[in-house]
Amino acid sequence: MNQEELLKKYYNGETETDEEKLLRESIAEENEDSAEKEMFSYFGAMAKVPENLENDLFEAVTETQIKRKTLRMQIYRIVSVAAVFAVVVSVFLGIRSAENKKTEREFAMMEKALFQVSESIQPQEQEEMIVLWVDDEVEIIIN
Amino acid sequence: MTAEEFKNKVIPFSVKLYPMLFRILKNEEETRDALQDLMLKLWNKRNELQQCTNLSAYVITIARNHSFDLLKKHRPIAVDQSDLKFLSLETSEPDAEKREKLELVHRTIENMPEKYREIIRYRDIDGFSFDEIKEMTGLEVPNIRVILSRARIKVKEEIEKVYSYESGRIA
Repeated sequence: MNQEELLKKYYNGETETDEEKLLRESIAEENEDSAEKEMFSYFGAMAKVPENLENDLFEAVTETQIKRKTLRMQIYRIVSVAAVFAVVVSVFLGIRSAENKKTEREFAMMEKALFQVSESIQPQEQEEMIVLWVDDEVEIIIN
Repeated sequence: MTAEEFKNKVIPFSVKLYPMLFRILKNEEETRDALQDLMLKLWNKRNELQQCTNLSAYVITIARNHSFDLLKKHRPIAVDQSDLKFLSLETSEPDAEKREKLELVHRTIENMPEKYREIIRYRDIDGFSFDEIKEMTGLEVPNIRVILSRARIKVKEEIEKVYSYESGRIA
């Protein structure tokens, strides 16, 4: 297809992208000025993009991704440390609480045993009294 | 979608999207930032992109919504004779007569009805395909071709009103 036919197609809005590229190239090579030369020159100037635009954008996107990953890793690390600390504290508190309960249970058992001992060694006439403890030096009696 | 696939399939859209966003923002740095935000948005949706049957339509839809958001934030600047300075053409074109011609084409397109202006820019500046323009405008392809044809002829006529060319090509 020659230039005239391509131009006709162009002005009818019937050209495809590759035909338009061809047309622009052939018009740009012409020495004489024409309306098309001005139009295409304007379109070309307006379509200019900064050098390395695509590479810069790709790098920016992947760098942001790496930064986000690093930030996420830092957050994970902080959360992990906090979780370990929480586990250690709760285990410590759990052990302490179990120890306290054990001591309380032992004390209750000892109290009960002492009460039974005191009941068994208490004479009939002293029924009104409760003997809690008796040894060579000390007697604990409740009236 | 892997980083490599994203680089090969999505990043190339930036060449078409840059001029479109620049027309809204009229500033290189802001355009780069906006485009980077858009690419990040697309990167975060890369799993959806992988499943998508029409990648181009998907990217265009996200880009269109992104540009609408930008338009909301940036009130349109009134069109006047100083408009071209935003477009960096003054500095890139030292020849005064050539600059005048560029301005004439710019002004002719600026003064067109919105649909005409949009379509000629999408096609002849950004290089979008007819299907992509259909996605962006909601118009059918035959209708887009008719509007594009009229817009191109209008630009040619306006240039020829001011400058006479010996070749005298007729559309």
